[in-house]
Amino acid sequence: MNKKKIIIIDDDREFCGEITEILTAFQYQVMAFTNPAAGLKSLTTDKYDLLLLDLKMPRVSGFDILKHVKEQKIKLPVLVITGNPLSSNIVEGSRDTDASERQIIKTAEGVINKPFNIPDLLTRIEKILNRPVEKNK
Amino acid sequence: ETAKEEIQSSNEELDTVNDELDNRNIELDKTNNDLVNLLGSIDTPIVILKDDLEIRRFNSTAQKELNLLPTDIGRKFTDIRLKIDVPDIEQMILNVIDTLKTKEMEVQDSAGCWHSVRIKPYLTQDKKIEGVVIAVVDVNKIKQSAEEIKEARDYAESIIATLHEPLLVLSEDLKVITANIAFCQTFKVSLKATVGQFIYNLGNGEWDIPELRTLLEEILPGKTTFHDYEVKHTFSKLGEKTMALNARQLHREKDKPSLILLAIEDITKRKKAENVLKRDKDTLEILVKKSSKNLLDAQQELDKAKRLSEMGKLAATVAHELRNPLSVIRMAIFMVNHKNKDRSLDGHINNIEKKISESERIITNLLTYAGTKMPDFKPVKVYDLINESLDSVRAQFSGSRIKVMLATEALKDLIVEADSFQLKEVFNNILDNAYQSFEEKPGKIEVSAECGQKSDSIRVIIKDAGCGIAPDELETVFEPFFTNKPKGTGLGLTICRDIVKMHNGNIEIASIKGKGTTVAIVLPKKRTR
Repeated sequence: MNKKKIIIIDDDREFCGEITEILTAFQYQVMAFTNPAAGLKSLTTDKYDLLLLDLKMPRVSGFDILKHVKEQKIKLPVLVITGNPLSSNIVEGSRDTDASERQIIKTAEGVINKPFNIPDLLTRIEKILNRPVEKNK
Repeated sequence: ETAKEEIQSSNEELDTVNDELDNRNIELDKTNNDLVNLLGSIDTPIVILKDDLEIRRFNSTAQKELNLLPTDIGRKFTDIRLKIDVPDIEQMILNVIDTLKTKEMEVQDSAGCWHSVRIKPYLTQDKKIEGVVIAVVDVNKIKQSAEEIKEARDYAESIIATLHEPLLVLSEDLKVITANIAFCQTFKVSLKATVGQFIYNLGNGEWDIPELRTLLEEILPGKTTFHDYEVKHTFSKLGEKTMALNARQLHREKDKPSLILLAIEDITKRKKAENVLKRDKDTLEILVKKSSKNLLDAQQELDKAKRLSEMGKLAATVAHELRNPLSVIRMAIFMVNHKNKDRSLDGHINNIEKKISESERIITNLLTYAGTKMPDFKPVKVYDLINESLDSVRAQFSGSRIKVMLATEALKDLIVEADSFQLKEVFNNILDNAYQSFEEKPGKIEVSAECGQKSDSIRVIIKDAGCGIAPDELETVFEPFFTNKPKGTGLGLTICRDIVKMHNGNIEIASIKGKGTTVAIVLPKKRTR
């Protein structure tokens, strides 16, 4: 059985290290980028099953990457992982992000707040990755 | 001889008679002179008539004043046209001769001067009537001054009458001599029932006012005037009146008793208006003070809000920045646990995970407090929300020996309009408090819900049998930064209250120290404004 490929873009080196180890331990193939620009480049050249994306990053933000994914019509589910306060509200349409950002966030599969529970994260990932297969059945 | 003697004695007698006659003549002359001088020195015209109305004598003044001539003596008085025309004088004279009674009448001459014509009977020594004496007295001055007095009196009276101010003229013994129309009208009394009355007896004794007594009996005699004494009195017909009293004692000539002028101004309306004005002024002052205070408060509130907002921003930034490392620590410890074969480390790992959860709650509360916004109302299943919240709190207190009894079936399938994120924070905080109230000891938490079919609100009750809260602390639990716990921000219940209030709901807390705490959250089913 082929391992699912997950790409992680987060500027926090330790975050990337730990999450890579966990996901690897749970049988995923992981590519982590602490440089968002490099991650973005990889998105266009390589094929992934899921993108775990931080929002607040230097130079290229999570919003920029989401926008790119949408514009380039890359078929890739995105799970936004953020420490941004009340980020669940962003998806629901809170007032502290502007309208265009809200629209972009809506293109993601979901938002997960830091510091998340690892079992919760694993459940969410599994759900997203298995869904198309279930649909095909 | 004898005849000679007789003649001699007759001569002697005659001489004696002659002497006597001479004496009498001298006396008569004297009397006549007296009479003429007397009559001539009298400024009043005097005419003496015989009983057949013939003029017998008049004095020089009569000649001048009445236009008589010396040749008029012996003429009938009524035939002469006098300077002063006295109608019916003949009748009057005859009347006096008949009755022997003095007659008097006032007449005006052609020049408009007044005279008093006095007719007296002329009696002889043996009381026989022989005519009349007519005296014409010039009463013009008397008449004039009487008229002047009357005029002055009318003038004064008309002034009193026209005065709008009620006025009484009192005698020294405080009896009413005069009252003006204004007095009668203002105090609804008749002039008849007022004049002559003792002032205190007016209006059935209604004017027996202690202050008035003091003024009239004590102050006035000493000072002779008083000004604008305010007296309040309730009259049975007129109600309460405020009066301004002004009085003056009028001293008259030595023997005459003095008068008191008492002006009573009805200042009830003015007083009322003044009071209203004063009240308005006071109210205005209070309002101004209040609004300036409000302004100041608002300013302070603004400053505070600004500071809070800056603090909020700081808190949000710090909290946000802490979430990242916290999540890395959580993942790291997850991996430590995953790789660890040494069970003796489990306790430590568990402690780290617990503290991560605690930190997470503190950060979330700080963020929520700093950034609580108006709820984003969406249909929410409160039943699920409670369960989710319970799951996460349970996980956090995985080692505890606390049983949770759930009785929330009433809410199953019920959809409420609320902000799910905010509502979950409420349940999280209250359940977190409930768990912590047991202080590591075993116990029971009851979560129940009520939802009447007809009621437009739901009620969630979370009851613990933990340590409870002392009564004096119960009042302050909702205030920010209040905490009973050794750790924590003291923001949990503040956030809960703010969120529930913004949902137009209500949060109540009841507690007995050592027995436990019950928190009831009431939320409207539909969004209300």
